[in-house]
Amino acid sequence: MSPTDQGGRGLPRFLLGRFLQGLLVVLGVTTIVFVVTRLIGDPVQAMLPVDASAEDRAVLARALGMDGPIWLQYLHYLRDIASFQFGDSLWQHRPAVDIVLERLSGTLTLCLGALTVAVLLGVPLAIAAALKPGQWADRISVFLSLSGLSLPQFWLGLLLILLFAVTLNWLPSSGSDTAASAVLPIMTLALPALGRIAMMLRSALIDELNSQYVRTARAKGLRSRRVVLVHALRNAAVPTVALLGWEFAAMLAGHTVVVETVFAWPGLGQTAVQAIERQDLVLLQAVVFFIAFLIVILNFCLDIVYRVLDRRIAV
Amino acid sequence: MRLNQLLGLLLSASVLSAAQAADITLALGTEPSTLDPQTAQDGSERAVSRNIFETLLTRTPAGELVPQLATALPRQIDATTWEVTLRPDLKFSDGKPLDAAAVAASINRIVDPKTASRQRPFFLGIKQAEAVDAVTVKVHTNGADPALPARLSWLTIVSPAAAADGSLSQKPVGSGPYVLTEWSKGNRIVLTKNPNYWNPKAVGNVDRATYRFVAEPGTRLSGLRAGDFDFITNLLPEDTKRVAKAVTLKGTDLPFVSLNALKGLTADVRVRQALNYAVDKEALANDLYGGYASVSHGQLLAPGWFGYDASIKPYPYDPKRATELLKAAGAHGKSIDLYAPSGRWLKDKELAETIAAYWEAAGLKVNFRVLAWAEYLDALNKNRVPTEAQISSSHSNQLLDADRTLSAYYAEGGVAAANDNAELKKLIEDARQEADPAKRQALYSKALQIGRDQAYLVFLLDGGEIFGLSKRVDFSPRVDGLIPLKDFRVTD
Repeated sequence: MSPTDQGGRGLPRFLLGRFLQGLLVVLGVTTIVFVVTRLIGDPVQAMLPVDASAEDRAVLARALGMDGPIWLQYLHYLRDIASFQFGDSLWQHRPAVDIVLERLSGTLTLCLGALTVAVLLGVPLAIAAALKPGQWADRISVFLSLSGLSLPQFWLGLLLILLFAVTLNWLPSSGSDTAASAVLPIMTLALPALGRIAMMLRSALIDELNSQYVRTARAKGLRSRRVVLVHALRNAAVPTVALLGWEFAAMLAGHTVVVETVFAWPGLGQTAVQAIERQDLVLLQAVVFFIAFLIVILNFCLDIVYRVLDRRIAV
Repeated sequence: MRLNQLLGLLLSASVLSAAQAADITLALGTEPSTLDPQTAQDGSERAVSRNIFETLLTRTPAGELVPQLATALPRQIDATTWEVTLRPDLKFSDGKPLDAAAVAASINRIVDPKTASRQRPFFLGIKQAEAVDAVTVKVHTNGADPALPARLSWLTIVSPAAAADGSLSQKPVGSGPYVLTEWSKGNRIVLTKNPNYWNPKAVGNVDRATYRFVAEPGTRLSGLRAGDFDFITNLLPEDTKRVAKAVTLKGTDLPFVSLNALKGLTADVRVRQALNYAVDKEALANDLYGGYASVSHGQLLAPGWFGYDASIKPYPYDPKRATELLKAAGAHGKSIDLYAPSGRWLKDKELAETIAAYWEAAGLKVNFRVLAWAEYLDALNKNRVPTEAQISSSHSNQLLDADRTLSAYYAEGGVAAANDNAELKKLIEDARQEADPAKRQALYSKALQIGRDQAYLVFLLDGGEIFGLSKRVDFSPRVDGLIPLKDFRVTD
C-alpha cells in the first residue's frame, strides 16, 4: 500500500468524524440518564425516614434544588455538564466529579490488570492451541473459555473468596488495603475475558494458518515461528483487538459493577450501585457520563489502532 | 509444675496486655456519606459518628434515659421550657470548650430548615435553645413535649466552629471517646481512642477501630470467617450457625402490615381482625427468622420504649376464627392488595409472601406485589391519601418514645395512619401534652388497646438486626440500636 492512499489523506477527517460521533453518543447517554434517573423515583422521598411528612419532603426538595420544573432542571444539567460541573452528590454532599475522579483509578486498575492477565495468559494459550488443535493446550483453552462464559462473575467471585480467603487464608477477602487485595477481583474479572480472548484468537489463528499466504510463506522456507508470530498473528490480531476493546468497555460499563460490589472494591461500579440505591441522581449522572466518555475515547483509540494494523479500513 | 505455673502466668500476662490495647475491624453494609452526625439519617453514619459525638442524655443498653453531657435529666420549667445543666469543663477534641453556647448552637442547627437535616422529623417539637450561662441551656418547645428528654438523647452536640466552616462532615469534631484518624474514601475509616476523653472509665479496651464497607452479605460473612473482620452487620438468620457468635436484640425492628380502615374490605373491623387471626406469628418468628424474632404484643412498640404495655395480648393464630369473621363480613372470596418491598428489611419479601399465603388460606384472594423501593415509597405516600392496598412495612423508633410511633401510625391524620378514630387521636394528643409519666403511660395503654382491638395494623413480630462477632470480641446489642465502640470488649 502506498503512503498516499485514501486512508492516509483522510485521517484528519476520519478523526473529526469519529470525534463528532463521540460527542453525540455522550450527549445521548447523558440525556437518557437524566430521564431514567427521574423515572426511578423521587430522591427526596428516599432520603427521609419512611414516616416523614409532606412538609419535611417539601423542605428537603427546596434545599436540594429539586422543586423546579423538569425542563429547567434539564437545562441547568446540560449547562453544568458542558463545563464538567455535575453539582454536589445528594448523598455525600461534595462535588460528584471529585468522587468520580477518586474512584476512577480503582476501576482502571482492575480493568487494566484484568486485561493484562487475560492477554498474557490468553494469547500464549491461543497460539499453543492453534498450533496443535485437539491437544492439551487446546483443551485447556476450551475449558477456560466455557467456564468463563458460563460462570456468573458474582458466583465466581464468592467461590474465589471462599477458597483463597476463608479456606487457604492466602489473600484478603475484600477491600483495597494492600496490593494483595487486588488479586482476587482481577482474577474474577480476567477469567471470562481470558476465555473469550483465547477462543477468538485460536480460531482466527487456525484460519490464518490454513490460508494461502501462510502455506506460500512456509513453502518459501520461512521459519515457522516467524510465520506464526509475525504474519498470521498480525492478521489474526484485528478481530482480537476489537474483542479487547469490547472486553474493556464491558468491564468498565458492566462487569466491574458486580466485581467491585462483591469485593467491596472502591471503584466506579460500586459507586454507581450506591448512587442507585440512594437515588443520588447527581452522582449517578456523573458516573455514567464519565464511563460513556471513557468508552468514546476508547473507541476513538481503537479506530486508530485498527488503521495501524489494517490500513484497508476506510473512513 | 512450677514451670507450668510460670508459663501460665506469662501467658495470662500477655493476654492481659493484649486485652488492654486492642484493634478491631468492623464491616458495615455501606459507607457513611458524611460524619456530620446532624444531617444524615443513616445507620452506617451513626455506627461511626456516635463514637465521635455525644448527646446530653443517653440510654443504658436496656433503654433507660441517663445523663451524659448533662449532669441530670432536664428539668421542666413551664409547659414549653426545659432547662439542662452541663458538666463543667467539657471540651471538644480540638480543645475548644463544650459549653452551653455550643449546645444551644447544636440544637438550633438541627431544627433549622436550612440545615436540611434528615433527622428533622425527630426534633419537630423543639422550637429553639438558648444559653443562660456557661453550663445552663434553656430549650423551648412548640407545645408541651414530654418526649423532650428522649429527643435530647438522640440530638448530637457538635463543634459550632466546625459546623460553621463546613468541615464537620469530613473532619468531625465532637467530645466522644474516639476521634477520627483516617478516612480513606470508599475503603476504610479509622477511629482511635480520644486521649482527653472526660469519662475514660466508661470506655472498653478497643484502642483502634477500622470500619470497612462491604455491601455484599456473602463477602461480609466470608470476611468474618476468614478473620478479616471482628464484627459484621446484617447477618442473615440462616448464616448464624456459620459464625463464632451471633447476637441480636429483638424489638429494634418491628415488621407489620398497615391496613386501610377507611376504604375497601378493610374498612370493616371484622376483616382487619381476621387478617390478624389468620397469621401464625410464632411460625414466622421461628421458621423465617430462625428464632431471631418474637411475637409482637399487639402493638407497634417494643419492650424498653416509653408507652409499651406488656399486658396487651397478641392476636392468637386462629385460622378458623379468621374465616368465620371474613364470612360474617361478607369478605370471604373477595380480593385484597398487598404490597411489599424487597431487600430493605430483613426477609421483608419472604415475610409478606407468607402473610399473603395465610390470608389466602383464610379465604381471600390476595394480589401480592413486590415493589422496587422508589415505587414502594410512592405507594406508601399515596396510602396517606388512603388507597385500598395494604402495605407490609417495618418500624423502628430510635427515640424509644410512643409519641412518634403512635402519631405516625395510629392517629388519624398521621403520615402512615388510615383510620378516623377520633377517640384514639385524642388519647395520643393528650399523651403528648401530659407531663406526669404515670398518667401518660395510662393514656398510651388505652390507645394501644384501641389500636389492638380495632386491628388498625396486622401486628407481627419484634425483630432486630443480627450482628456477627469473631471469637475474640464481645458486644451486646442495645435497645437504641447504636453500636458504640466503648461497649466492646476484646478478650484475646
